[in-house]
Amino acid sequence: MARGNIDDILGGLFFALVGIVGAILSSRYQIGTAAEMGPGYMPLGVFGILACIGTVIAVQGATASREPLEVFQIRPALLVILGTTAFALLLRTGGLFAASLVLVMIVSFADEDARFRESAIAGTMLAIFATLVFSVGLGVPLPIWPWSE
Amino acid sequence: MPDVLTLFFDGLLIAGTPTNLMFCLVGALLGTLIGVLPGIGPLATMALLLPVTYYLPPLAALIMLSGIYYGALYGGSTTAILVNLPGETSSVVTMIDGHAMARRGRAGSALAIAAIGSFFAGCVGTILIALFSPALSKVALRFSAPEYFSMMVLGLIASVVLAQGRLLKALAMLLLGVALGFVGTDVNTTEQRFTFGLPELFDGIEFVAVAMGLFGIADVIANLEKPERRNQTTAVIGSLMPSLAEFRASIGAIVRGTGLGAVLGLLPGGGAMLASLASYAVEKQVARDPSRFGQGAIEGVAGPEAANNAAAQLSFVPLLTLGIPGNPVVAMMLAAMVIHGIQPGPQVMTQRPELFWGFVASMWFGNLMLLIINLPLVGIWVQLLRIPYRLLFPAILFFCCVGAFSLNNSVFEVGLAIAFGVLGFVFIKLKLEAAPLLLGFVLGPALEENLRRALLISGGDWTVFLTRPLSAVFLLITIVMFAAMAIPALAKRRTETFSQGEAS
Amino acid sequence: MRKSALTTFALAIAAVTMSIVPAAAQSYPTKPIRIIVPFPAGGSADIQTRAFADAFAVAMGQPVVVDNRGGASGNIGTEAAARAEPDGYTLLIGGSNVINNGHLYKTVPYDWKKDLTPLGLMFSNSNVLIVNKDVPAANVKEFVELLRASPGKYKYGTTGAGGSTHLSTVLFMDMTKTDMLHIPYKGDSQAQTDLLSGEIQTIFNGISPSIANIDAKEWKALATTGAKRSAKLNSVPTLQESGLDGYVVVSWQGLFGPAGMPDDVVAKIRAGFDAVYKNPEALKRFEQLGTEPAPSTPAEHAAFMAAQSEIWTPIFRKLNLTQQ
Repeated sequence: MARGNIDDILGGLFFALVGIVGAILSSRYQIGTAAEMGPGYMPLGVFGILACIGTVIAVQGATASREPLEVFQIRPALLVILGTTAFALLLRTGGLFAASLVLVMIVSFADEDARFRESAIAGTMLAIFATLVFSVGLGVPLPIWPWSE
Repeated sequence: MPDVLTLFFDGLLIAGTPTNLMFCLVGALLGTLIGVLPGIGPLATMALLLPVTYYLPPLAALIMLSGIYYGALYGGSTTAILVNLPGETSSVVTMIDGHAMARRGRAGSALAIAAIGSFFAGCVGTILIALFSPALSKVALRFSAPEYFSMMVLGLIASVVLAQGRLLKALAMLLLGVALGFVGTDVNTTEQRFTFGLPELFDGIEFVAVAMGLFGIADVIANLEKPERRNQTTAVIGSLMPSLAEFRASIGAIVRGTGLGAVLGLLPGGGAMLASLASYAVEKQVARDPSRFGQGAIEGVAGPEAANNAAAQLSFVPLLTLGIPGNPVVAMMLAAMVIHGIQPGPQVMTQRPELFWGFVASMWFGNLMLLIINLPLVGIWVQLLRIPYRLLFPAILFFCCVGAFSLNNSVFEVGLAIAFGVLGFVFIKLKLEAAPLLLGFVLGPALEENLRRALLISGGDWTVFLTRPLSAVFLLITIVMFAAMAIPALAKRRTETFSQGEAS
Repeated sequence: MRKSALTTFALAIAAVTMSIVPAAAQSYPTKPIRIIVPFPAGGSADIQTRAFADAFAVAMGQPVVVDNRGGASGNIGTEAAARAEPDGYTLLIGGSNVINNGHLYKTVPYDWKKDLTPLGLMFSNSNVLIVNKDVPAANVKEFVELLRASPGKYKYGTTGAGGSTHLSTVLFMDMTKTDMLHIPYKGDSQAQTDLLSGEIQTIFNGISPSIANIDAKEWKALATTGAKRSAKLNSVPTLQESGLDGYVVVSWQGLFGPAGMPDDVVAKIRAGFDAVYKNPEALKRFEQLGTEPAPSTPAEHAAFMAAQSEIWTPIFRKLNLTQQ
């Protein structure tokens, strides 16, 4: 039977990689002495330790008993990223109302039970609420409509 | 000096006028609202309202603003418990067991105990300020760079206990958080570190963007993947009030949390954060069965909530007695006082006694009002959990995005939150817990700053951390705590490997 | 339930339609004016701007929205203003960051000489040189002698390298030929606590936040940094009076617009600007905030900026900060 805890191997490698890259980047900054630490002193230390810990985690993971990676579905992650990104891109140009509506309409379908009509209503309600609370109430300076800037 | 008690009662009479009570209520309500909304913090709200306070009597203005401050703390824990989203740094700790309780249908108890714990801490805090302000202010003066550094080390190591998984993984996440804190302009040299030329990163990464991504967005994605996980949230709603057993378990935690908060709140910087963290660590250590923590232990809500409220209360002491605001919110209070010609400092107590005592007494009214507002609200908040998840999660995502945007009125932070959302999802898949990362991120910059300053002042002599008594004590506690965590963990691991070895 | 939702909807429509302003070609201003504060809400620049904005809105007859666009020590908000249409609907609050960031960052996304129109100085605040009560010096002369007797022994706190408190101290040391150890802090509360406990000996601090501890004799005020004595610390001499000829350093804020604004728009803004400083209520507020109004003409504003640049360029050269 194959050994290895995939979580630990991947996680450990991730930490080790971040640690090594970070340490290389840190060494470009001035290191300095203990009395006068440069901007690279502490990062070098922290990334160095991170790289070591990451390696240990990965090695331990490789020798541990087998535990496969959790499966993951692409649909929720993809639609949530898509919806929030659309919100970010639309906010300045399309206004708060449209951006909120689009956000809700897209991300709703990350859920299998989503119904078009229901998410359209929910989106409109949220857009109204957002406009009232953030623009009118809290005075966040944001365009509400595409034409109001 | 006249009898403190008489002065305090005079203060109660001044603060208890209908006008002052009304502004207290307005502040508390507003604070609760912005506390519940993730991302919108008390600081921005107070800045918006500061101009309004020109038209108010000085005491009413102060009462309203401080109501916003406490109200936001009460409200922040509501969001943390119900939707696992830390709106403020101080609610990160509450989130862990508070949300676990909500998943088990004990949201009502968690909310109620948070409010009751905060109220108790607020009352004790008020009394402490009234009786011991001048003496307490000396505590802050005992702390300089070496003491801060050692205390931060203690805080960081303590934050490892927040994780339920492996010690080593939690340490790695902690260091990753500290590393994220490096991003931005170095205070000592103006060097821009790890900014990759992006001007939006020159002032560092925003806490809210990290929190909204790692918890809000990542959590939503993970919940959507697993229908059984999200149904749990909307499952049974138990009784709204804590049971007698839960009450009994919480009393000790509340008292200990209040004590920790009262001391740590006196220090400038991340007092409230450290207080709730320390309280959680203490509760987990003294608990008969530490494994309950992370699964919805009520002490893990009661202690930290009491601690952060006590700390918030006591953070007024350096302002009132030394004239030094310990955090940006308290600095806004300073601005409001100055507007009305009050210069907080060593003499405010003797020169403007009616104002000083009225303000101190109003804190008690504020806390009472928040208790009255929050306990009945528990029922309403819990109803929120009845909303089907398919309608709730788009709203959560929306609040995460708006919260991130409103930091600098910039879309960049929204993008950052999304990026951290993806990272957070990967962490969930790899069974890495994000709480230590967030705490490392919050405390890391102060750790580095004080390390550098301590060694700059000592001329590079590392023994300074041992020769200063307070600092040495902190480091000693750190070592003891680390050993207490590491040794059982090692032992456990060995038995696990053995048993698994036999099994396979 | 249905009915209340409808009412909410109607209210929302009413609320949002009010914010739609027809872009008719009437004379400026016909819609709300936005003032960018390039720092997060709650800082001193923000508080001062909000006090100004309220009175400015009255004078202009249009709402004035304060837009906090923080990031990169002010560069992001300043760039946003520099890139905005020069139609008078986007203005900017700027201080020393507008000039000094050019020395702190390798690339600054705007050129303050070319991309901004100075519209007038707004506030100018002196700072005060304070020392811990145990420092055996009662005035600047004694303090300088003390520093010369033991170079590098005394420690001064700042709110970070390259910041205004750092620059003020470096200029002071430059002019007095003295040397102290630089202890940078992030934010000023810990620095002030360390000054109280004697961990550090001196800070160039704002006047308002120093008064309480000066009165309590915890700190000694040696001199103020302005051209004239401060009204709040009238017994304390200026550094100029104390023998540092030409040492005038103030924390200032000015109103800017993008480059290329039409003359008639500038004239209208100037009229509104002047009205603010004649409005007794606004003046009272500025006083309450502890800020000193220092309204000037655009020409004076521009000349002031040029003079500031003259003062600090050699100091930055001396500091030799790592430019990225």
